[in-house]
Amino acid sequence: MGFAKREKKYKSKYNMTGTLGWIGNLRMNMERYLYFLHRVTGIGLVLYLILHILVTSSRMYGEGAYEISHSIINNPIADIGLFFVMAGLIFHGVNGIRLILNEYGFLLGKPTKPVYPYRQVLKTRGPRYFILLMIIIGAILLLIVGYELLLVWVF
Amino acid sequence: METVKKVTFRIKRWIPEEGKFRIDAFEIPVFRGMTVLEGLIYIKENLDSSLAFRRSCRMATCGICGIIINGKPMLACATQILHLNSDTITLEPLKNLPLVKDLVVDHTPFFEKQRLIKPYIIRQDEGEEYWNPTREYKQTPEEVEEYLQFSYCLTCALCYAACPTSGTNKNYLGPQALMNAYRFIADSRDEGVFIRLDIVDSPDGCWGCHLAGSCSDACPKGVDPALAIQLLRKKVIERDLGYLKTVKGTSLVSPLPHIEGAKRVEPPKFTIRGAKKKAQEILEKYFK
Ligand code: HEM
Ligand code: SF4
Ligand code: SF4
Ligand code: FES
Repeated sequence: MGFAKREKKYKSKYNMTGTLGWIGNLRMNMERYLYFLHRVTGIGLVLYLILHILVTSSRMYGEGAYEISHSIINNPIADIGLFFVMAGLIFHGVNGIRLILNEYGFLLGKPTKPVYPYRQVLKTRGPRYFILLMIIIGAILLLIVGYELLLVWVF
Repeated sequence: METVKKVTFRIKRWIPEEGKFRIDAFEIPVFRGMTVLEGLIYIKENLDSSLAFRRSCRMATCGICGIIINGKPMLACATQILHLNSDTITLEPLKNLPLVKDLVVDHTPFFEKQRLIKPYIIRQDEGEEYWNPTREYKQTPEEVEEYLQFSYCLTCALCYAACPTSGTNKNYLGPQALMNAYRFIADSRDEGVFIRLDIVDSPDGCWGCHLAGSCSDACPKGVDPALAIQLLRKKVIERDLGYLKTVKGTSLVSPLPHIEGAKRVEPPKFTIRGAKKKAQEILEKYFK
């Protein structure tokens, strides 16, 4: 809203926390870590998507090229990498569902009387149990993924 | 008062002439119940009179003494040194605002953003009664509870310093202004919901929040801006889906019965010369 442009007006440097402030020097609450992980996994997934398109698009140059590009990634190390990509995707997905619900004002309840000790809605049972539920769903999905990948290489 | 231990304050001071920070360490004697602000006053009185910091009420009411204490935005006057449980305490100026000197920052952008969301009751029937009120608007205790929590804000900018979006986007309205927008939207006397939703419905407004919750964590008054912002977004969505109807603010209370000899109580006179003129200027600039 034009504040960046008017920086000169304040004759002084802004004390911005900047990109490092995503995780930065502030002692943080749990949701702040989830926020950071969500960003990192989101960016990671975009990078993976680019790689994925590069690898699969080799099919355009004939079956031979496709065979070669797949022989590079067809090993246990690459599948361990894939496991972490899946872990990132699962985290991003389940946390994304939590964010979509909470960010549209659902499951947060109503404001309370400001009586000491003050209440923060994110730290009340509802949202915290919801995070727990998401962790459980995520863990189950991750176990399934790990099992499938193990099937390929061990059994 | 009896000294219980010695504590070192490591103060990250902004030196405007050099355009950089300098870290100074001061050792101070601490008594039970001593606040960080009292520590700063001790330094100013006994060790270094050039140290600049801000305070006014020293009782968590004016909201000007906010600084970063051991990495977290807190009120210097409402934080006891012994509660911090450490022998060295690092103090920094508040984040995401222009630096002035030492621990002093310029709150102007923060206040200007609050002003942008029109932090006052808006009425469609604006008239003589609106500008020179004689009576109150009706409001039930339940209606007060819809916004009471959000009206406890003391504009200390701690939430603003804690927010990761404010930390990267200078145009982001920030937790306080967005929370304040919802505070007035939720007020049953107000009729400005559509005006304010237009202001906050932008990536620099309510959509810039990523629910990191740090604002609510930092708030010294339990205002919970993170909650207000999510409820604000819900309002935007309700408006976009066509559920939000034009709101009619509550009506005026009935006039009091005439009491023989009763006089209207005049507001107190301005004690500082020129203050009245200044107040009128501000009123004309921002509210007309
Ligand atoms: C599995 C289903 C997915 C769900 C439910 C989901 C949900 C979300 C949500 C709700 C946000 C906004 C978070 C916020 O408010 O900060 C978001 C951000 C983002 N997502 Fe996803 N997403 C999914 C899959 C993906 C995929 C496959 C990619 C990559 C190709 C991706 C990349 C991103 C990026 C880069 C961001 C921005 C991060 C940020 O601003 O913090 N997402 N996602
Ligand atoms: S909840 Fe939103 S406004 Fe509050 S600190 Fe997080 S991003 Fe900022
Ligand atoms: S919402 Fe809380 S932290 Fe933010 S300015 Fe108001 S009182 Fe300070
Ligand atoms: S001095 Fe007023 S809030 Fe701390």
